[in-house]
Amino acid sequence: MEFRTYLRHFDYGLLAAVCGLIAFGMLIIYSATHSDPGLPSPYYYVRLQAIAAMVGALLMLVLALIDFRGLRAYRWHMYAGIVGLIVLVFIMGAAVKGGQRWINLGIFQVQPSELAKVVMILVLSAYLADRQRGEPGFRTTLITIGYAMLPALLVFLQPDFGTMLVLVAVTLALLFVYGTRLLHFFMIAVVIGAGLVMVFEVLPHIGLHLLKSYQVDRLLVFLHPNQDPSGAGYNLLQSKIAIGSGMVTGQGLYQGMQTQLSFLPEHHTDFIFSVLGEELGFVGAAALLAMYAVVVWRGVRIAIISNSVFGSLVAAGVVAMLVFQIFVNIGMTIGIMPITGIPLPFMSYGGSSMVSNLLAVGLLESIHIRSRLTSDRRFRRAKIAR
Amino acid sequence: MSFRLKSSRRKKQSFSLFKSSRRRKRRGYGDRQPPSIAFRAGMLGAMALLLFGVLIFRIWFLEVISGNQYVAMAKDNFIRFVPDEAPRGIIYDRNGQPLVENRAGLAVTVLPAALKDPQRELAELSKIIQVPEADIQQELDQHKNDTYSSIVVKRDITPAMKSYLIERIPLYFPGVDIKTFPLRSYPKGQEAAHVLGHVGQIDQQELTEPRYKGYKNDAEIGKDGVEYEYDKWLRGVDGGMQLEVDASGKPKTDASGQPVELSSQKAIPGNDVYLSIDSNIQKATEAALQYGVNLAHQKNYPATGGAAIVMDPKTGQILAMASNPTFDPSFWVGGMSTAKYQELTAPSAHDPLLNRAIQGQYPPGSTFKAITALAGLQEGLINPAATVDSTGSWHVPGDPSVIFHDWAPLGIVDLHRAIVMSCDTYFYDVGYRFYKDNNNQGIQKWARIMGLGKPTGVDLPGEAAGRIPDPAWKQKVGQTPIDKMWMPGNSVNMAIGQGDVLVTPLQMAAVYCAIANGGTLVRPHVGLRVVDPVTHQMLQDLEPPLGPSAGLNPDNLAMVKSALIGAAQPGSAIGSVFAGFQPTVAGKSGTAQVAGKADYGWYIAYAPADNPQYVVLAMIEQGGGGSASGAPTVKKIFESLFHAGQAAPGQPVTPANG
Repeated sequence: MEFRTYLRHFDYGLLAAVCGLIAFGMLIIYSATHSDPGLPSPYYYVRLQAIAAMVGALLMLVLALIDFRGLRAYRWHMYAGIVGLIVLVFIMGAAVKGGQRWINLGIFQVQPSELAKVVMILVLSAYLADRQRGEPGFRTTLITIGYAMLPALLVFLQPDFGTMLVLVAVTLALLFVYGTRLLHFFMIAVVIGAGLVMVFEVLPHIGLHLLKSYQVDRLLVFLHPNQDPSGAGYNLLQSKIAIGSGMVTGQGLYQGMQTQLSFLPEHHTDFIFSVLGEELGFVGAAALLAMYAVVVWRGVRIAIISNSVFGSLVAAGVVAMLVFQIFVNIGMTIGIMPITGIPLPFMSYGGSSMVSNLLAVGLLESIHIRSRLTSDRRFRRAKIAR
Repeated sequence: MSFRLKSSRRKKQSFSLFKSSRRRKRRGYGDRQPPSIAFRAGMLGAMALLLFGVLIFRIWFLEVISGNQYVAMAKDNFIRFVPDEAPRGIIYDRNGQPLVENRAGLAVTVLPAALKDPQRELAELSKIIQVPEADIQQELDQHKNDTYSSIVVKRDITPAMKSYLIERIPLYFPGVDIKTFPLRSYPKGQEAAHVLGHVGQIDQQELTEPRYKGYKNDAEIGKDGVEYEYDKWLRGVDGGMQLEVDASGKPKTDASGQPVELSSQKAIPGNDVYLSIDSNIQKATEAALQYGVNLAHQKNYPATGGAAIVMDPKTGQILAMASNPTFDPSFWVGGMSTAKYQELTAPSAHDPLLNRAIQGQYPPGSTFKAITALAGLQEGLINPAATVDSTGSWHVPGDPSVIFHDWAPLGIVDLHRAIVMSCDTYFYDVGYRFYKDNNNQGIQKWARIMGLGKPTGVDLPGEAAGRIPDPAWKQKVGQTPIDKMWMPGNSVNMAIGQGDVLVTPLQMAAVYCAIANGGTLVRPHVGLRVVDPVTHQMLQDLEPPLGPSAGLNPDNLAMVKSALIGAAQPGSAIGSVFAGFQPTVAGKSGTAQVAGKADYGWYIAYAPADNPQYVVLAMIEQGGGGSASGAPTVKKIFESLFHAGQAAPGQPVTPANG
């Protein structure tokens, strides 16, 4: 099968939505940062983001052309590799804003925890697909959680609380799609609840602080944001002011006072949605969510039409990863989710996140191409669905 | 989203959500996708849709429903009002010499929201500006709801401190700034401190007064003296501008580096006020008063202070008003320290803040005899030719139990000699005659006509009323039935300005103005006019009209005036203080006795005697008799009034017409 056949079976709807999101993101990053003091050029961040997007696009293309099923064989290599990389962060990571998350490769830095999201989707999907012949029993659930636990704990210790949450969400989503009984989910919920009580209430009393105090502040402040407007609640308050003042059509691109006058913190990374909300208003926010909805729709569709359990699980895992990040990030900026430092996929400035998300899209495309090539029946059905 | 699933299959799958599907195992899908996974993936999509729905609902609520509220909050964020304090008007003396001016002050402000590490920054700032950290914190706490406004933590820093801070602000104190604002300055130093008063920040209680309705809660207001009295004229209209600032409080600038003003309102300076005070006379008067106090000290009197006044008897203008001890009004500039305030209010400081000329109440002593004499003549109870034998003491006829002492046995005295020699016995007799005449209230009546017992209405705050006792007053304040009765002794003591009579120095000066100008009552005042600082046009004439005539018989007044001339000449009660002084002085001394204290020395005079230009009063608290310190003080003032400047010795200095 030659290259052109692959290209014919590409999911262009998904590709268009992702490209639109990246372009949208770069526009907002430019608006947020072009007047920041101390930048060598107003395009500084936009340029770096473009480079990351191009690298990501290239890797996505490569991944799309590779038969994703082949990756199944390398799951233990991938698992060992990613765990090793995260451990490496502890050894040689540079301190960035209270967390050690980066490996410095000279010209750029890599954030293994971002990569871990994609890798863990593959690893867990591969494990679950293997178990498919048997009953989805409690043992399977436990072992899946066990595999996920190691990188999740390491990421948590970095500390990168947000990425840990993404890993947990992806794991639960994969278990759900795989067909785990609801009783198991109930038991997991009980264990997580008990764990939270331990972390927040019991352990601090005996002097063991698993979460740093700034993390606790940020996690809890969304419950009462007006309590400390210049402290931990500052980010949230400024974000809500920014989004709220966007009204229906926004203040106009480059016109958002909260953004342009730096009242909004982290305006090109975690709080980029606030910039969009302020400058483009409800219309812009709705357009963004519509684009995400297209990505989710294509992802779910790929999970459904995939002719392999592994493909369905991977596609579902990618969808779950994206939806969770979108919901928690936007939810954080509008005050319905705790502030966890999860970036907004394809929008937030950040190379590792961009590349990882594009890799995930590459997986979706690969599944899409494969399922259409190998199943005429499904191929036709998918064509009708389009 | 399309699931492409048949409805019958969907039912089975929903069942398999709750129980693991045995059917799936039996059918053996192998590596092919079983339908349950497709269905569950669809469920995942549905959950995503639900979550997106939650987001879009919340965003809709924030942006569409409550957007206006957040727009207002955003404006609060980035629109900063930078006030432009209007300079107060300048206070000039009658000749146009500035007594109170303005200078540019430097204030240190803190923008709490911009502090990176409040504890460290405030601690270090406290050391530099020498304000206790607790004081800064308290100031910030008062504006806690206003984290985006600059708060003044120290007013009036030195230029050296400014340059020290300016260098360090960008690195160490991002939230600290220095701004300029007008401050009061006093080119004449302490001169006329009591008349001028001072300015300060309005306090909580003042804010509730109707006088300050509509004032901002950090307004600078006149707190005393002319600053208080003419606050309405002196204060300008504050301006300010709205600036766009960024999160660190820095104003946004345009291409040329100028802050972008969203709107601005220029401050309108206050109007200038001209006073009747003559700076030269004021200076001489204060020096003379200090001389009098020192003189009393030399004579071993406690001399805890004093007052001196120079008035124009024709108009009631106050040319000089001094109170001793005094203070430096610049203590208040930029806020007075607690230590300084305690120093000023300590008992050992003898109330320097008290303006004794209008707020001190003293028995007038023998200076009151002019009033008793006029009252006696007007009421027909004195026959100027009739004499009394002064033996050194007196008692109510038929009641030798209470002896009234005289200061010297003067032999046979008539009215003229009684005033010249300040004979108490003569006036005891006059007082007794009033009592005998059906308890005649003539002395009180004429004392009140002349302006005693009530404030003079001078245009300065806090003036005391003094007291002219009468039977009704005794009835009110008396504790026992006997106390409540008006006794002969009350009339007798009152006749010599003792007993319960209390006056302020300004009241007595006003009385002698009326005597000096031929019987027309004056309204003492310091304000002349309000002038627009730009056009120099008069906006308001502050001079009150002359009062009515006192209704004195010219013959009676002439008799008293002639006696007052004698009372200033050698051979009078004050000895030879004014011997050979040109022009002729007319005056009366007073030695007021206060239980448990040294005598209060008064002297009130006017000159030239035939055409009085000045009424001059001096009173030294616990400075001995009037001749000991009062009269020499007055003489000093007259010397400066008539003999100052070698160019025209002996020529009266005519005040520039205000």
